[in-house]
Parts: sequence; C-alpha cells; structure tokens
Amino acid sequence: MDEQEIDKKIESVLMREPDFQLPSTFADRMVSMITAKQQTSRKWEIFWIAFTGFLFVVAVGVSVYLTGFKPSFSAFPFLNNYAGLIVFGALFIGFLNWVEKKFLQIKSAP
Amino acid sequence: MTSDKALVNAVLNGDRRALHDFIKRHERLVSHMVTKLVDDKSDREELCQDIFLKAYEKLGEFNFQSKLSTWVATIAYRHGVNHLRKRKMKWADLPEDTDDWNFVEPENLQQLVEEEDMEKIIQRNVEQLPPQYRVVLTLFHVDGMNYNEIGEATGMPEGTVKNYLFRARHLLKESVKKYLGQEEIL
Repeated sequence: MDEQEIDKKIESVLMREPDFQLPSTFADRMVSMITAKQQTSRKWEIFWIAFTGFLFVVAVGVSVYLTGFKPSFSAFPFLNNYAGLIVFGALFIGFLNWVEKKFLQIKSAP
Repeated sequence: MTSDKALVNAVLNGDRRALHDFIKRHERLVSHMVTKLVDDKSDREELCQDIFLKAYEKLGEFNFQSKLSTWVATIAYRHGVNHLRKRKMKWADLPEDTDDWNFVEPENLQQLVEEEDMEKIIQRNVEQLPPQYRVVLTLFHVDGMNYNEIGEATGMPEGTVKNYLFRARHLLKESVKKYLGQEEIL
C-alpha cells in the first residue's frame, strides 16, 4: 500500500459521521423544554413583582405605625400663591423640549 | 433556507417554528463536538440540551460577526471543555516529538492486527487522540469548517489549528505504517 492509499484510507475514516446521534425527537423536546422554562420564569417574575409590592405596602404600613406619621403638605401649600409661575415653568420646559427636538436633534444627527 | 439573521430574529420574537429550525440546523454540529469531547455516552445528550439552552439564552447577544453555526460551535466547545474540567478529566496534549506517542502497546498491536481491519484500527486511534485534536479533525473533515472558523469556534489561533490537523494526520499515518509492518511480519 503506497502513501496515497494510506492518506485516502485515513481521509475516509476521518470523514465518517460519529456514531453518536441525537434522537429524532430532540428538537421537539428542546422546544417544549424551553417553552416550559420560559413559562416558569414568567410565573416567578410575576410572583416576585407581586411579593415586592406587598412587602413595600407592609413596610410603609409598619413605618407609618411606628413613627406615628401623619400626612401633610408641609411647605407645599405656599405654592397656591404662585400658580402662574408653575404654569409658566411647565410651558417653558415644554417649549425648550420642542426647540430641542425640532432644531437641535436634526442638526446633530450624523 | 432562512438566513442566519432572519432565523435569529424569528427566534428572538418567540417563533417556536424558528426555534425548532434553529435546533434542527445545529444539532448535528453540536452532537459532533460533544461526541469528540466527552467519552461518557450517558452525559452526551444532557450536555447537548445544556448547550442549546445556553445558546437560546445568549442568542440576543449574537452580533452576526461570524456565521451562526460557528457561534453555536463556540458555545458547544466551551461548554464541553467546562464539563471536562468539572469532571477533572485529563486534558492532555500530544508530546512535542510525536514519535513518543503510542496508540496501542506494541504487544497488543499484534493481537489487534489479527482481529481487526485497518479502518477499525485507524478509528480506534482517532478515539485515542486528545479531545481537542478530535474536535479539530471532526470540524474540518465532517463539518467542513475552514481553519479560520475552527479557530473562532475553539479559540485557538489558526496556526494551532493547522498544526493540530497536521500532527494528528501524521500520527495516524505512522500508526498505519506500523500496522502494515506488523501485517507483513505475520
């Protein structure tokens, strides 16, 4: 047997498909597994959001009870005397946003 | 066939059919990688599952800089290597001087020559190479990847990939010559 024949023999062995093959249902099972995992993780997300909200409410309740906190507007009632200023502030901020979107963002775009 | 980009986008948008196609398209490649890295047959299927779960979780990070198959192969290779490390399996390299590498003990060679044909002996010798060599050989010869793609998948420099292929084939050739020598003696 010459060198070329040996090379061919080795090549044919190396090109052989490995004996291990995944079952034909593997992809279906994987899809089901991933879907089930997603559903479980979504359920957990909802649970944690609800649990966090519940804990927050409990913490607020306990804090109010322990500190004897009574809600008040504190310093804010004085704002009643400056209604015009507040309206002007809101309009002015809105105007600046509009100017930025209309002129500045277009100019700075690449 | 759907392009990589279309397939990835469909999977990310929750298309189950696309997810099925994604797995079908890459299951052969992943099973090849796992087969060459992990000898224990009972671990292989579970490892393939873990690799696809990981690939699905990380799919949003795929940036289309390489082929999707190369990216999946990278995940499979890293996962397989981590598995070997966890099991504390040996990650040997071939000696610098490949003449020092013996596939079978000389006293067993004669018995093998009597019992088996040459292809079986080559196959047996391939299985005795270190895992990284087996992976490179399979990706090149069975999966048709080029040096660059194999380098990306395994994290090896292109020169190392070429070197591994050359050394492995050289060793196999030497083993065949040894086998033929024994056959002549018999």
